[in-house]
Amino acid sequence: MDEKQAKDGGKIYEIGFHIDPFVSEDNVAHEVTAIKTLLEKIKAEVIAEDFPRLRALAYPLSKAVSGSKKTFKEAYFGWIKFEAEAGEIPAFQKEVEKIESIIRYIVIKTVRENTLQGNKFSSKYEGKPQAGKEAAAKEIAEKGPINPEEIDKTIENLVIE
Amino acid sequence: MKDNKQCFFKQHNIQHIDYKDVELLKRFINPHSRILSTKKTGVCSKNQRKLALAIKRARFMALVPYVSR
Repeated sequence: MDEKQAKDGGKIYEIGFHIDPFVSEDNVAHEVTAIKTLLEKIKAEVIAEDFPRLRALAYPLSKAVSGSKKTFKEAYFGWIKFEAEAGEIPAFQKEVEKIESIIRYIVIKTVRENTLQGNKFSSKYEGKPQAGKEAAAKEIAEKGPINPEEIDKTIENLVIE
Repeated sequence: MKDNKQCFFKQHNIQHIDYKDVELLKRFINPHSRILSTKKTGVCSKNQRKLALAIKRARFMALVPYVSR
């Protein structure tokens, strides 16, 4: 895959970041623009992104901001997938560190394709088909046995349509 | 999950495990937030390594806890 990526030009990276929750919602866009400006500096091409959304953190994060230690229980989490030259990444990371409103960030190597599965495999999703089966069983019990003539009629109607 | 002999990620044709997929990752951690072993998950070695890396990245980004309970 590295050879393929080398032929295309740069490599695919992704930056995930937490923005200070005390930043107003209007200013979150400014912070994202700041990161994008840094990406432009290293001549990176943005492939995909997700606008930061406020979410609760799994554990409190702390960061020293202007001499005092601040603790955050929630933050705006967003990510940007981009293509860039490997040599430019360390400099980019140093620049990101300088942005005060970014509590924590991670830069990883990834692939161009979408890697997110969404809520497809959540435990809630798993429960749904069973609930559906139960509901269908109830429906059948309420309606009683199915008449074969009715089925034939509905099939005929479908064929005509 | 114990009885599943085939790798979950191969079954669902998942080639890249994303650290942002918290709901997916939560399937592979126990109530104490420890990573489940291959023996319990039935995930192949290659994907187990990818899974462990994704969980560790999610932990670093505070999307998944390091410890709980």
